[in-house]
Amino acid sequence: MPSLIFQIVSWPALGIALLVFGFAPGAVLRLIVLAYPRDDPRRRELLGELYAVPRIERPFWVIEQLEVGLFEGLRGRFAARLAAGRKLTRLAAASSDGRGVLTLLERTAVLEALRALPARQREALVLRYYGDLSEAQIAATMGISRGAVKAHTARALAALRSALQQGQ
Amino acid sequence: MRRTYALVQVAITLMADPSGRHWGYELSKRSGVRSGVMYPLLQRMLDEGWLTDGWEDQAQTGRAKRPPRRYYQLTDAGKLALGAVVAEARHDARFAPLTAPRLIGGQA
Repeated sequence: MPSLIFQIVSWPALGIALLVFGFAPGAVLRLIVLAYPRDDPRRRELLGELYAVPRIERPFWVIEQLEVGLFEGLRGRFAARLAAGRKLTRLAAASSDGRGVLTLLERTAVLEALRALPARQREALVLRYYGDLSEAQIAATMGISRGAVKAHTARALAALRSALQQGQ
Repeated sequence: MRRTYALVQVAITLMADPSGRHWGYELSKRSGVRSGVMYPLLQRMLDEGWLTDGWEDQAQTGRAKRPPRRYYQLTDAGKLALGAVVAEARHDARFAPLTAPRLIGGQA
């Protein structure tokens, strides 16, 4: 009986959802920003920005941020995780068959891909993996936050990965 | 960076006040680019070194308990790069609705 389902599920749920959304868009936004990694500056940015939005527009603006959270926040997370996973499998493969981590050919391809990265991303990546600095040290060196260092390296790794895959 | 419609819209809005601080919501509102497109775009501009960011002073937020807002400011490299984007867009029929003279001057 569709009408029964409608009576039980929809109206109270819809009413509560609308109430929460209309009167506490900030609470909803706080849930949305959880899509971002813990120290991504976007978390604080979106929460700060809410107060610049005229009160009447806030619910609509928060809906818009749902898209931001899903596409930028979640994608960023997966990109970082995938890159880390790939690096591990490659290291494992390299150590199991006894040859070096990268062949000369691969190394050239990596260097080329590195060169194509935006300057800040390249800087962060080189400091992290060639210079072996910690995230905190890189943050101090580049004058940016640790979250930004993480974001730069994650994006750089993702870009490298796709560049190398295209080259294969 | 690819010359998308959104990039040109954001570039024009940023270049309307090249040395000022730009805030997310206002930028999205004035450029007409929705947040889901604008934030990734701003992130890429940060990566390129075209923008720097910073946080509003706690003193400015004043009595309210609200968290500080993040602002974006053009770097010199950014002014050159985005200036070039805007200049090129003027000669591109695709962007004609954006680069009509009344829009360049800021307020429509």
